[in-house]
Amino acid sequence: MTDAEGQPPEEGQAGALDNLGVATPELTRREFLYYLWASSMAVFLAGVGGVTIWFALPRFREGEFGGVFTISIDDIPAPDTDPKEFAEGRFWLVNLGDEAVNDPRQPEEYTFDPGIRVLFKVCVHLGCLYKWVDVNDRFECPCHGSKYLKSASRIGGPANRNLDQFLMQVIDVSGNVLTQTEATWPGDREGSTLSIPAGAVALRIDTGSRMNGAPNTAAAGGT
Amino acid sequence: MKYYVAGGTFAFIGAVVILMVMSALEPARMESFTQSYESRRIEEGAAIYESSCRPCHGPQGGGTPLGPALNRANLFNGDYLNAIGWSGTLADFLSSTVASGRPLPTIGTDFPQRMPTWSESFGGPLRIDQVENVVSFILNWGERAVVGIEPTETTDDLMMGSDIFVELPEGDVAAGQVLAEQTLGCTACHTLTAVGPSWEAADGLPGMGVRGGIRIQQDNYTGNATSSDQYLIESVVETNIHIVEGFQPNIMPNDFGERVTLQDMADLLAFLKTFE
Amino acid sequence: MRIPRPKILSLPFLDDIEEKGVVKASTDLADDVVTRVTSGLNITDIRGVLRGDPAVRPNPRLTPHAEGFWLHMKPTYYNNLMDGLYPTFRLGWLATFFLVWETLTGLYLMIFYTPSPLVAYENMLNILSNVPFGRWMRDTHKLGGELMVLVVVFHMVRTYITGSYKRPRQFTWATGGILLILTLFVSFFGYLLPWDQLSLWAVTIGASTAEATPFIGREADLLMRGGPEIGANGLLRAYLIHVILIPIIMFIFLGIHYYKVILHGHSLPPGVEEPGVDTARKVPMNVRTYFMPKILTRELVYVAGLTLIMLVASAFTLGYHAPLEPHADNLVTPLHTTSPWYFLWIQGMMKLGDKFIFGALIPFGIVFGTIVAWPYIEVGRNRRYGKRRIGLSIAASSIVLAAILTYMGTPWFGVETSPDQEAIAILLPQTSPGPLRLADWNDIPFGTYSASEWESAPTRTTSKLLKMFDRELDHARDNPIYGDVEGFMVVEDWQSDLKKITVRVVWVDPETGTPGEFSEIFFFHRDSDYGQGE
Repeated sequence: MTDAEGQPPEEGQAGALDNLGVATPELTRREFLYYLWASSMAVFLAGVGGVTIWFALPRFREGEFGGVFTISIDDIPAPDTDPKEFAEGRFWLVNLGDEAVNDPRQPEEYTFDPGIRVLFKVCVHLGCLYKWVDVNDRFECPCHGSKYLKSASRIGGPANRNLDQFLMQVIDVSGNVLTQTEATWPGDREGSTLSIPAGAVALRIDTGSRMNGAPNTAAAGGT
Repeated sequence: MKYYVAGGTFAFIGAVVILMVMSALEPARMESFTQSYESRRIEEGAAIYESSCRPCHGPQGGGTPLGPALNRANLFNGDYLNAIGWSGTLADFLSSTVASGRPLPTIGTDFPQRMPTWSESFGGPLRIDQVENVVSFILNWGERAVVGIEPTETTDDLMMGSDIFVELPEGDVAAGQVLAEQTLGCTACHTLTAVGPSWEAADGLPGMGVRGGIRIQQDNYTGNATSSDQYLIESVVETNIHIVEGFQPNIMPNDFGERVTLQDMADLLAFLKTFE
Repeated sequence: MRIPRPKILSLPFLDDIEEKGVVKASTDLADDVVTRVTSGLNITDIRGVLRGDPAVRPNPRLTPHAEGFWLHMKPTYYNNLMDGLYPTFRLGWLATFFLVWETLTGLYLMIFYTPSPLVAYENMLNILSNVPFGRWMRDTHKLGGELMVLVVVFHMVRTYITGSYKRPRQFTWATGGILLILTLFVSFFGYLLPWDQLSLWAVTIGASTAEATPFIGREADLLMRGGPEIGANGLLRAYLIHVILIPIIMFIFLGIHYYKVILHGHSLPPGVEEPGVDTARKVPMNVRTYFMPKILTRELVYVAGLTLIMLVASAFTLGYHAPLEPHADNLVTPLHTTSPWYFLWIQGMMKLGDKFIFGALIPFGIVFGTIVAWPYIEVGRNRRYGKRRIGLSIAASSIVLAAILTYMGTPWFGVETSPDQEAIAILLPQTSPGPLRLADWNDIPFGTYSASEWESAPTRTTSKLLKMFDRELDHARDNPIYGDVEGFMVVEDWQSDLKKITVRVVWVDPETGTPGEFSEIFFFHRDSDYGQGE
């Protein structure tokens, strides 16, 4: 407890504290300047903190996983064919045609239009890389048996959501964005499929921005 | 005392302002430095190419009987890589070739020797970063190759080589003058100083255009030319075969045969013959 | 008002709320926390310090020194004579500031650096091109290191001049001498880390001095290099020495050094005390300047000001920037390679004679040995300048001698290369970019240019370069073994944005008439932009 020094109590705001015995002498110019200096130091240190984070945050160049991958339109697989693998980017590129839309195994909750999607290669259960099993026409994870359709919807196994996607943009020859991935599920989940409009030249896939799949916990897929 | 406090405050405020200005300038500076060191890679690669790669691949990447051209369009527009079934990037292809060489000949070629390994990982003389520098240099041909500015054809016929009896096309004096005075720097030794025999008439001898005829008649002539013109050609492409008295061997660069095309030689010859 | 809670739980804060009410309990708690954190100052005391109020009795401002860790070595008061910049210029404080600065910036740089020859240079390029504030961090680390060596030397000179090494402060001086040696070596080993040509060869030069030591030389050299030449092992060892070994030793010795300084007190100006008497420890009440607030404020101001200066020094293009030369190549030694500036005096000495005597025995045995042991050699008690004329003269002449030796260590003394190589080295030096690399790429057209005709060169840039070349060639022209000296610069279009520039010197031997030539080739890219401070 502070010892009151017998200084005359101030009226007003300080008065209330005073009645409790807390000493509140008037603010002198010197004291105020010190507080100002301390604030400037705090601002400076905050700046240093910001610079430290900016300094230490890893940066990903184009073509490095974590950065942006640019893929030409010609590299997109045909609709309803096998997914195409991009190992350096850690993603599968799938082209969903009418067969995929009308697949009887597809859980009804997750609707989509024909188009392309980019799926993160890592299984959403515990992180293994799932495989495309042609004979079963689905993705299967070797670690705990999670199974997903080409459309990224989970149809079995211990995973609890659909496969994650990377944000993708379709760009034309001047670099303008013609269309890009939007969320179709509340909570910014389950990215939309993209169609390829006329004039599209390339896809820009940002492996630094990932969108989670929609929740999917029913035994055969669905919520 | 108050001045200290005020001074300290201004120092920190100033520091914050400087931090903000620096933050604004940083992205551009980083871009600029990236560009800068990528350019320096090309420079370093050019120097390594000059000493290690040129004997087989030609001075401007135009190829020689010993190695394929590297400045050809089909390398840069994807045709060649598709044809051989390479699924990676051109940079990877070049890296892998430079690093490990060619233990077996490429199908469809009949080069007399195999390309040696260059990377120190495989026992060669170059560090990994030096291999990458050479690759950067080769990739720099892409811009001109694809647009067709540099020669895209490569047969050994196009370069002069060392055959002094080969038939030359019609030569152009003005083009020859440009070659001699600028592009190839001949005048540095042959007219501006006395390092090499002067082309002008001097010491009782006629100018270079005619002098060849006299030289080949001399007893101490050790070359193969049978005409004045052939003497001049021989002097350019077979520099050490006959050294005129008073001059030294191995001073004149002996790689002009790989650096000039038949047309260039014809132009040079036409220009030299104007010295009477 | 009672706050219901289980009897088992003992929460004194809730007891306080019951007794005094929430507001007072909270302010009391805050006050209590502040007192604990500051080891003895509550809020009112702190405000008193900031307001410049006289201290209450008993003085709470002494408690952080007596009971706290951070201030336990800091004196609670200084003598009035010692509270400003003069007479010590706070150089010891400044050296410590730089030690802390180097540690912090070094830690930042460690995030992006791996000590392997395969990646070290790439790491440097990454820091400079892909890390925000990367170039600034590196520049300021290098600048701080160089300044620290300078400050430590100045501190030693000041201490010598004021005779502050004399009894009872001999051991303080000795530990300071050791800190000087440690500072030089920590800087030296850090030099190797960028793994460029300057790093490799400057350190090779220094390391080869170690090899000259008789009997143990080879082993000492191998220990340091970890191999027959400086390679992966050498780099790793240099890294560990630079980053952990010497810093730990330095912090230990700094602790000993500073403790001794405080134990004896800052020595007063010599004229103030009786000769041979040291009263620094006992500071009469009327000449005391207390640490809080005056000294603390001053030191914080120094920190703020120095931070600003260091920030600005490397912030913009016009400023201090650490060079980055090409990748280390142990097959090629650049012309005019030198050791770091603070070892130039050793290099200068080595040009006088035997590598071991002049490179190791005299500098490290005799010079540094004398420095460390000086107070035990020169034991006179009188610190007054008038009575120390001999000592001060020795100091002055040592400084002059060091300056001369430093000049002798530079490449311009006693290193003979032929004039033609020197002429080309004017345009294309091997330890700095030089005028050709810094010239405007767009202003050098294709063609062949001769040096003596610099006046008729087509552009200003070419003209300036050729003039420089020609001036240097005059040295060759003065030399009787060179006749008909001429220089050429040939510029060819080699690739997109790439010019091939050949710089050539040709001459004729006047006696035999044989021509000679020497040339160097430089490939110049439009965007290589050498003017970034290297």
